Amino acid sequence: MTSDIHYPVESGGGLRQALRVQARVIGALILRDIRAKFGRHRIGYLAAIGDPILHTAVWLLILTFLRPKHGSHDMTPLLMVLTGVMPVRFFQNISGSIKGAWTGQGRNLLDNPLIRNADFLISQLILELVTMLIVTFLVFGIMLAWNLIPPPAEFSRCMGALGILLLCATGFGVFNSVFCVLSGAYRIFMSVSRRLIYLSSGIFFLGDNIPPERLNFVLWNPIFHCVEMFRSGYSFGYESAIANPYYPIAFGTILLFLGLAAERAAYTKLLAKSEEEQPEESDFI
Amino acid sequence: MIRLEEVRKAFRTDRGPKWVIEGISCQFESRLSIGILGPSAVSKTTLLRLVSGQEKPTWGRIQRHGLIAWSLSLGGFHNQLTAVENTRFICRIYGIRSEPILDYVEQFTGLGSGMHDPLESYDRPTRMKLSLAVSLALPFDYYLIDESSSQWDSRILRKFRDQIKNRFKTCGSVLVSEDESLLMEYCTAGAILHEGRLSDIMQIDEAISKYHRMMGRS
Repeated sequence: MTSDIHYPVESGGGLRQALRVQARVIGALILRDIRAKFGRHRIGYLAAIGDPILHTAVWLLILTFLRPKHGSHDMTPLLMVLTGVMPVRFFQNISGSIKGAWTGQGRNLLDNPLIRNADFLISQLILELVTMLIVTFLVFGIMLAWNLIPPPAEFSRCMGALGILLLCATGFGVFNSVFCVLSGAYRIFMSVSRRLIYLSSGIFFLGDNIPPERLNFVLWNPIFHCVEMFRSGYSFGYESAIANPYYPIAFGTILLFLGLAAERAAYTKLLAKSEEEQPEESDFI
Repeated sequence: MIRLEEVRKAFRTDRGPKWVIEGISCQFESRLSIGILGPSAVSKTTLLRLVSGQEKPTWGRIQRHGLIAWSLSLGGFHNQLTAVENTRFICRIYGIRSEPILDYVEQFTGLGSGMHDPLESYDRPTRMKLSLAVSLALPFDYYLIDESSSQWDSRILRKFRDQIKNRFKTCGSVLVSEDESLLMEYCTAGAILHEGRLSDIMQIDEAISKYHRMMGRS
């Protein structure tokens, strides 16, 4: 057995070199996580597609008892729930995937000098974005193939709403990844907030149909605006009068900026805190 | 070569900044094994983290020419993936062909078909051995070893003495330990970290004698 294995590995400085290394690291992380998520158990694929379908089915079941008001548009209960569930799961899955940048597998990666926190964030973002786009197209495709829903009225508006959701999810995820490690109180606050955001996102109601006193509450939720924009783009007859794209854009941008600034300012503290947070086993793995 | 230029490090405390490293300028040459001596709580670990890039200096500059190995914490290994998959991932990061590395790792660990089992099924010593094998197989220019950390403990350093010493012939290493026999065995040079400053690099036996005098030991 020899230990003197030598291969050409680039090292040294230079921006181009640094970018090449970063691209290689991000590519390796994406391949690793695809393998971990979908490679071993085929159930990974089924879970990714089955999760939004199950959510839609549960909400449809609930709505048969609630019997919501129906406006003068072509929005069936199925289309309403589906155009609510998909954007909300899109937001939740993407923000959730980068939330763990300073804990668990994300923290463990930082022990390797070649891997930066940003590499983990970018790889998670790319992987979850591609997964969610595939799942969204598949779920809508299945429903369209069975003639359960009509085709989208304005595809570009739907994609625009998903783009804004991506910004919100990135800002929210980065902000949470930092502050959930720094503050235990924030972690509790966030766990409550996530549920409130989910319930007030408009999965089971339309913005135009809810009374003004409740509307004032849900308008604070940036995801609700994105859901309304997505629906307005999808449905021929539904045009939300209350969706404001600037609010979720500002929400996502400000949180992203604050999260990155806090990460830079509290880097050493984050390293120390995240080591404390490690479960017993993960001081080694 | 790793070069430190006027490196200072402070941590924020309630009573203002606490300077733990106060202006270190030195050069760690490749193919030289350097032992860092110093009393406990003198920030030897912080110095290693600065050198590896895990911590950023508050002031000064650190230039690194060459690849630096990770600490033995299995940086980047995934619990649900097998030893083969994890080794391939590490090779991808460094842009290295994985086959020769896998051969070495399999020989070193003696895992055989266990190379295809997920890491979560391994016990702690086996994971440690796997991490060490991958680390030694890769063409790192420097190994930074903090013996006080739970990962690179003296048992590992003694158990795989021959393999580690053989590997260290072709690269540089910086070893932090309070075990002087370990430093004598692995290092040819040494330096003393005291009150935030690092002494000149000298022969290891000379460094140990100087450290004894400094601490008032015979």
